[in-house]
Amino acid sequence: MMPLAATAVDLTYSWSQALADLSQIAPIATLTLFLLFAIVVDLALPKSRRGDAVAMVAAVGYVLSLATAFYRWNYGDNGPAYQGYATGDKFSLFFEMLFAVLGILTLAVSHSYLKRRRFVAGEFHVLILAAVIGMMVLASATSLVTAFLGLELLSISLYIVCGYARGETKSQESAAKYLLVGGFASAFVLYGMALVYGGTGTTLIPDIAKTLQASSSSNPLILLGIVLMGVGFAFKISAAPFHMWTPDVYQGAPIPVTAFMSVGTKAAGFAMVIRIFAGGLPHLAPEWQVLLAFVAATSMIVGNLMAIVQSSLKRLLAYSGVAQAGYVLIGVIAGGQADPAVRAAGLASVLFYLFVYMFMNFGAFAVVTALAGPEGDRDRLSDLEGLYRRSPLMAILMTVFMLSLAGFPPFVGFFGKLFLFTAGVSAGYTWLVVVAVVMSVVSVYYYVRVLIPVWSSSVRTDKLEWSVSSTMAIVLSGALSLVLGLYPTTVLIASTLGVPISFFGP
Amino acid sequence: MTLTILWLLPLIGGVLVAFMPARLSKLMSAITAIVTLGIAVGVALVFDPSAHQYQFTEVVPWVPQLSIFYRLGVDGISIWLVVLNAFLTVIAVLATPIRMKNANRFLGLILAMSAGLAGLFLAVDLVLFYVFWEAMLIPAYFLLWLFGEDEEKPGRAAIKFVLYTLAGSLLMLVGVIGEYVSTGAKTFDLATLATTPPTAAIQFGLFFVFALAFAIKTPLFPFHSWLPDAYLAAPTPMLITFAGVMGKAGAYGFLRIAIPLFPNPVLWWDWRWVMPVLAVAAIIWGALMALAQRDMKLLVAYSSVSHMGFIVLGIFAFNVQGQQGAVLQMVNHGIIVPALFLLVAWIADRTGTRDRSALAGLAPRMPVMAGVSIIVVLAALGLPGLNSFVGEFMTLLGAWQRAPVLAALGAIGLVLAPVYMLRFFQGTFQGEPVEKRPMHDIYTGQLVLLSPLVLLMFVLGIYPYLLTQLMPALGQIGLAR
Repeated sequence: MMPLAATAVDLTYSWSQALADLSQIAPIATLTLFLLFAIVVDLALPKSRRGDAVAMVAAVGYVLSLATAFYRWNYGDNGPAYQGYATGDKFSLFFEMLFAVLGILTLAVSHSYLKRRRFVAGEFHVLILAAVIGMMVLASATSLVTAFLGLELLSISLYIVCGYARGETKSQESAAKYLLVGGFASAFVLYGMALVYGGTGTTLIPDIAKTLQASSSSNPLILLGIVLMGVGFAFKISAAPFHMWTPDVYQGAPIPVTAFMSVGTKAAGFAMVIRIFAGGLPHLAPEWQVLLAFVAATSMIVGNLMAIVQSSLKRLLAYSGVAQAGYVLIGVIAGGQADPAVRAAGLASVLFYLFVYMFMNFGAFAVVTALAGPEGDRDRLSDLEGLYRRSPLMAILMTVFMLSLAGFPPFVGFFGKLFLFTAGVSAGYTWLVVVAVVMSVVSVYYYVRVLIPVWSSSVRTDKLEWSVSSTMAIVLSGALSLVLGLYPTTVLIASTLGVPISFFGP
Repeated sequence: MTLTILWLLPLIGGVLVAFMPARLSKLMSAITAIVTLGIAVGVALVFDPSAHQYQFTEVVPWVPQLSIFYRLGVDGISIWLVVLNAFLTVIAVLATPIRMKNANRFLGLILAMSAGLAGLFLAVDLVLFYVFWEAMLIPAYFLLWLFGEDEEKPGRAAIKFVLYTLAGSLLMLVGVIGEYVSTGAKTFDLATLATTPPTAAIQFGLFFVFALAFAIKTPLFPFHSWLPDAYLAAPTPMLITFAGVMGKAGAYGFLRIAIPLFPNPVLWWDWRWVMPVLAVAAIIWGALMALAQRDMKLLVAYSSVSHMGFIVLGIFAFNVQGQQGAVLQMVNHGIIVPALFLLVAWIADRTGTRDRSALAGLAPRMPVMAGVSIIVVLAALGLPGLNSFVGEFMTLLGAWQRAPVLAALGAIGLVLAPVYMLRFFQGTFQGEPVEKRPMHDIYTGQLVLLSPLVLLMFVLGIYPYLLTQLMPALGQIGLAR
């Protein structure tokens, strides 16, 4: 770690240093390169071929980025870069791999969807690429400034794609709402960051931890900063009581965007929460643990109860996402404990859950994608009627996703919850875990309610058309939802490696 | 490996069978079920009655970070439930009519449920037990919902059943985690956990959450309201394993987990007294409700609540007679209840009604059916010489040793059982026939299906030592030997 004073004075920057820094953020750099290339392709090619070509470029970019991250995970020497403003540690690599996989899944599902709805494909893929890069930046940020940079890159790209169905009022509304609320949340985060900077004199997260360790008394400035950042983060991970935007935005946005957002922004938001709260403010853990415990309990209660009455699958999954954010926060809270074993277990359970949540939640949305017609999305529960006659495979997969989200063994959602709850009980937050399980019972009701139309005998027997790519993405998600449940060890090991002890600063 | 086959074979069979044509699917599921039964019986024959540990154990690390192991084993208690499950699965598969709509899916789900139950009885790791406990809800839910006989509101009974069970079992998940954290042993191995009970205060809380889950599943008196709905909605072939085996899962949980792991759950009152009181309440309440029913299926369902009360009473007698009697009674009830449900379904099939009071005088028109029915009815009411008598006698004997008042009150159930059971028999088979329309007597196939059940009623009634000889071979401490 470069000391603070040296950063300010030392302005020499050698080529070898530049190369080393670049290699630390290689997955991001790779993807950025392909983003630029995709823009050029989109400009250069004739209109009819643009979409497919850009999709191709994006696909190669995601795969290469994933491969780079995987390589660096195994063989790279992972450490800070750019004078401590970013890092290529295993935590960031874990999330970079997650986002790259998410990018691939989104691409696979969205391409045929865009064609069916006659949207311009090129720009869409470029914007999603940009959002993925923003998420990756967020995960690898070790400075408040870099984190904010990633947050904005991610948010601004998403504001645009939310309104991608230009002809629809709902989509417009979604974009506008997301822009306003998102801007609001960003302002909160920025204000909180500014206060923390004012209290500690640095924006580098490890240095913040060092400064706070040295000063024993808690500074009201920093406490206020924590509260403001906490509010902003709660917006981003759509946790109650700051979740109001979620159902409306999710409902209005085109389904692949909703699917992408529901997993991506949540994971990115949690990466930021962990990095800043657990990594930068471990000495003030009791303060933010209280805050997050309140947010977690509210999210679980509000999310699960509101989901019951929804008749739109997008809104239902939006509220379920609010509830799931509550479950995941239990792990984050455990990650603030002083006992290193509990702390590591808590954060590892968060990483594990976010990784597997991607498959089950994205898969559920992806199934609905195929129901969409040229005129719009069909996401009412009644639109799912007779799905098993129209496509038995999709009916089975949808069942897997719902049961996994509900936390039934042997699907992976069960182990995700088991790890989170174990961490919560070990950390002494048994009451929060009790709230979580009671609310899980409620959640089963609405997850199963989705399955009722799926398996009902209905007159609709017209076959659905599934593009090969989206079928593969859904089958992959479904298979992983089961396989990772039967064999969670590898991902759990990776999640544990993702939060090394050194992560917590001094 | 042997034990893994016992649950994996029906599961794989079930998945494959679901995609076969109806006729082939029945044949294949019958083969699967019979092979599984053969292996289960084989295990019971090789079982060593003198060993005091789990036998045929298999240990594979599953999630080593949390010391979750794939741990299977059988002892003198679980072996009987495994065999019973395999046996009733064969009956259930054979009882499934091929002409039923989507028979292949139905058979697949039956086999999957049987696999989950087998895994539940075989698991000796707390998390694995929980996994099977929850996983078997999935096929049970789909069976109740997609094949339920509830025409008006399909799925209502199913969702009620699932939510009821989950309310208990998700709290049990907190208990599982709490046990892991509080014992400090960092293990989920049931045999080890039984030697390291947590402090009394924690036992008090943990016993509550586990006992609640098991009480709902059993079901015990105030938690039984899902049962009439679910049993009424369930198709008969499903009821054979659903009522016959899954009902025992809760009682088994008391015996395997709640008692050995929390031997002293006492804080400001003693949980060990709450359970037998509820059991006695279930015995009497179930019997009274059975008396009031005109629908024969409901009558059997409530009689089941009453009989499960005896089992729980025996378990919480905390002595050898009571607990062995309880296990014996689990097997006995598992044999009698399917027979009763089958008979009710066949009578309803011929007469078009399940209303006891709308029927009379069936005996002259179906003499064989009446003959078989009286045996089953007598077994159910606990006639000496037939199986249920031995189990009920042992549980009451055990309860008497704990507290005579429990046995005295429990015996009220013994008095009421003949009343509702004989009223059922008299109402349907005896008296003046309401109509003279000729009816077909029991079919040969049905008789063949029922004969192993009836045979076992005699065998276990005359020679219960067949079962009890293995029961002292327990895998855990904490249970009465």
